[in-house]
Amino acid sequence: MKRKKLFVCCILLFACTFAFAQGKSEKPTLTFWDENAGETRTPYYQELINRFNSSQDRVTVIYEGIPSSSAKEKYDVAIATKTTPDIGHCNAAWGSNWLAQECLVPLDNYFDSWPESADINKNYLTLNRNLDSQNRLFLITDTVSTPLMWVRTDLLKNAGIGIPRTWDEFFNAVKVLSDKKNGFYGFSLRGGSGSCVELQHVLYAYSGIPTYFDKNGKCTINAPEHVEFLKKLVSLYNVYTSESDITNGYKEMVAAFDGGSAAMIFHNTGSKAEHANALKPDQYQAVSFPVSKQGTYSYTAGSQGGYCIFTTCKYPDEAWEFIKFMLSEESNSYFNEKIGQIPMNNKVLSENWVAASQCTSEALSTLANPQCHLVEQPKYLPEYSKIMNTLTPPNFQAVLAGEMTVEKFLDTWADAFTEAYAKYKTGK
Amino acid sequence: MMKTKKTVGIPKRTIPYILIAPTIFLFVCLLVYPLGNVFYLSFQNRLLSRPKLDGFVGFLNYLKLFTDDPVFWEALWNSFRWVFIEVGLQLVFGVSLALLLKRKFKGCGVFRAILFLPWALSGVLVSMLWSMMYFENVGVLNDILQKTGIIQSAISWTGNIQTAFWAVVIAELWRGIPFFAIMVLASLQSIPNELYEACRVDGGGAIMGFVHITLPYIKETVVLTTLLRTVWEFNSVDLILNLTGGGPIHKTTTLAVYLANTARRDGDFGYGSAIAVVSFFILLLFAFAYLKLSGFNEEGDTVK
Amino acid sequence: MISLRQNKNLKKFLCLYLPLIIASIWTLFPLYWTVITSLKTSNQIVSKPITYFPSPVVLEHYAKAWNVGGFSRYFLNSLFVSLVSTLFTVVFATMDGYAMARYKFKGKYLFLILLLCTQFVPTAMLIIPLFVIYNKLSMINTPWSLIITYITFHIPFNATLMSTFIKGIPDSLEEAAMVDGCSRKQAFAHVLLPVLLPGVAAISAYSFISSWNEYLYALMFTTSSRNYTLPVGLSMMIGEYSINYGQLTAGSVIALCPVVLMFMYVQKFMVSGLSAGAVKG
Repeated sequence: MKRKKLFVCCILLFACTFAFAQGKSEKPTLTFWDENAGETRTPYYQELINRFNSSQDRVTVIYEGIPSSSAKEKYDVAIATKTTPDIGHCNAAWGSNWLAQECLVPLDNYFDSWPESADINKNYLTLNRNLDSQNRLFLITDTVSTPLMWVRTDLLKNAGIGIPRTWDEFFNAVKVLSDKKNGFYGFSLRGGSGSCVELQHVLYAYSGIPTYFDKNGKCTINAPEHVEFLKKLVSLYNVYTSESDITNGYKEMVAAFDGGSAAMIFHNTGSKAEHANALKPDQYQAVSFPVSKQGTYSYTAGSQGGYCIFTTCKYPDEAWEFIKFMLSEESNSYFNEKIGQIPMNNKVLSENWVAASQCTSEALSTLANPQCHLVEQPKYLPEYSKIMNTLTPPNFQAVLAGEMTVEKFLDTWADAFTEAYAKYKTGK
Repeated sequence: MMKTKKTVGIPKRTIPYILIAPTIFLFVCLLVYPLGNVFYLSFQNRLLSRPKLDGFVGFLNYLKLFTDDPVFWEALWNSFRWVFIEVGLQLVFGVSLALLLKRKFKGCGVFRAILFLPWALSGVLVSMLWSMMYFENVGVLNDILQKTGIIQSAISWTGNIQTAFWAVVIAELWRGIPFFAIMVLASLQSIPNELYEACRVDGGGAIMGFVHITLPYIKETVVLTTLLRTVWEFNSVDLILNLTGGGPIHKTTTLAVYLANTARRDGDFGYGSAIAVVSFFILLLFAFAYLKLSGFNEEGDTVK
Repeated sequence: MISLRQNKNLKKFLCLYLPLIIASIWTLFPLYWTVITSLKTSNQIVSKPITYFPSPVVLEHYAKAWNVGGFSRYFLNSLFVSLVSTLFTVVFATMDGYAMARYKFKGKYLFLILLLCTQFVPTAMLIIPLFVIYNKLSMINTPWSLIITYITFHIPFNATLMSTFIKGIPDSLEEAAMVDGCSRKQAFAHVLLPVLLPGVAAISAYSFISSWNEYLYALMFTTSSRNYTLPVGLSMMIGEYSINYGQLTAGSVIALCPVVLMFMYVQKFMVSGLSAGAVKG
């Protein structure tokens, strides 16, 4: 009996100590979701998070990686069930949906009172503010991959031609480099998923038109210059490009480039790691889009990822500390150098690695050109995703297959956006 | 002496209900609400991108689906084509394989292990693998066909409007045949060998044996496996999405792919749920008709 | 003059071995491709000309998948979830199958339709409501949310399959046993079950594989990566801008091993003629 009592007391004592230890809580933890987890990003995020955690005592950040193929869906489920993480890194294309669902914390107060806020790239801040009808800041971009061409310099050299610097040179190069019988092509189109998102970059790069909508609110995608260019581009299909381009997604296009069956592709700085893995440095190069018909260089915003704080976060102040840390010069430099994208902290631009990374310095030199302007894509329109992912890609495939004219394709695209824009302007 | 059990107080009538109770419990807890939710949402406008427009819209989604959506009808037709061809081929090849592997012979274990592997592979890999093999210019399939002279120039398997559908069919077939084979194989094991001996003694050949002995034994398994496989293939999307994305120009968009794109990619849960409900009723009707036609329920219900 | 024996062997080869060999080539080639991709260096994987045999052979993808990819952890998670869910699925499915095969009861047809209905709606449409339920029960981010989901979704097929297997076994076996004084339970365990083993083997294999390879719910119901299962881990190798074919194939080969082992064990029970002699006398 005595032993039993002793035993029970020990258990109780243990339980109390345990409860007490729990009660004397550790630091609060914040969860951070990475929407593009994998070996190209995860180790660097984890390194930076470790640095942050050891640099302060207020909070511990925990990294959670989500596979990119299902990231949007996972975020959607989390938002619908109110189980969002504290801090998220996301794709700006999802931004307008999230703002409509009111699940993010406005960051204006935090940002404006941050002394280093002036270092952050203003163009992208403006784009992010435009996602909100009241111009509040919910998303701060830390890294961007800008659209450009990738070119197989070894194949060009073998054919005896130089890197195309004008659009005419480009089309000529495609023809010279193609040898359909042996399965070598000068170019690989993207006709599958994401086709039209890529297409609009190059259309505006060719025409030099500075805005997506003209002053009357009409979408400029079907301007005569765009029709002219697209006709030329589409005529390459299945003659100087392979037939499978019609369903090419990202992986097929890059496989063609890295495998040597396509000498040039339109993509962005984001695929640098993949090319570096497959090819030697003297075999490929990043080249900005040639100068436009108006003598200017245009770039569309490209893929901008950014940080945001969800409304379910119980410690927004600490969450902001983490975001500040990630946007600081040292972290932003480390991260972008490792993943090969363009840093958004302007102080980083003068660092050595930027000049040494060919694709980064190529993109930046174009961006820095006084003749270069930004064409804002209407990601703030709720219909943006639907038009770019559901409506236009099958139409583009129809154009490639010869079942739809270029004019009809661009007109449908323009009408859809003009209508969406009008709806947006009249207050949703 | 056998221990005589006292009559346990459970009446024979309630035994089946006790047996199925855990399953019913799980279903009621976990499936009533989600399934009901899908039906409920089909009558709503539920767009992730415009939550302020959420609300009851009655049959509007269905109206739009049936009268204003050409992709729906194309997807429906593609679904029927897909299911009929896929399940038909899997059935034929699967049963044939099972018949071959039925008996114990030298090396049967090895063959069984090999032929079972595609089913065991992760779906994530299978999609990527076939996508890689189908690459027009750096894919191994074209390489082999060209090297052996079967084709002159590389074919765009997933891009060409004629071949895209069949390319996906073959990939899914590779994965699906082992499934049928294993299930039929298991049910073949319950057939006593003596029956075949008796048949042979009576002068019947292999075909007679198949028709009169094998077929009746495996009929129910085949009927049910086919039915469930049909349902499964109707709703299967991962391979199609990865290989062609539903293209080119919707040529490989089945109803399930259309649903996946509408609800998951575009965030339109109202419209997507309407598609899901339509799928549900198509499959329900099919199940009823199929079971009735195959005389499933009239088979020997063993009465105790 | 071909002797009778030679004729028989030739026939056996043509009718048995030849089709099996063709089927094996059809099956094995993509698998061969998977394995050699996992052994090639990254720059050989997607390149022209296509290499049919890796040279040099590298094992780095395997090492990386196991260490960096977090596979060691995901492996254990998958094992736990798959084994537990298989166990319960087989037990419940057998119970249901037995009820449907051996009894006539009111609502039996309805029960069958109910089982089928659960398969009609695509699983992706059920994520959010199921998530809400598990969240209320605090089961999100635990293996139990997955285990219970898998059990619920795998029972219908396995139960109906079991019922067909059981129907295929004449009930005279059990009747005879009960005449001898066995209770129904004993008759089931000692007489029916041994004959049913191929069926049990088949549905165990099916449940295990389905649970082992399930991706969507495994991703959605876990919120921290230490609870991820293997398919989720594999999908991490597919990034937005880069696909690591080498690691993906290496990881898949690693993921394949337990399944193959399981099947090699289980297929022993799928041997013909087990019922021979049981009915006689």
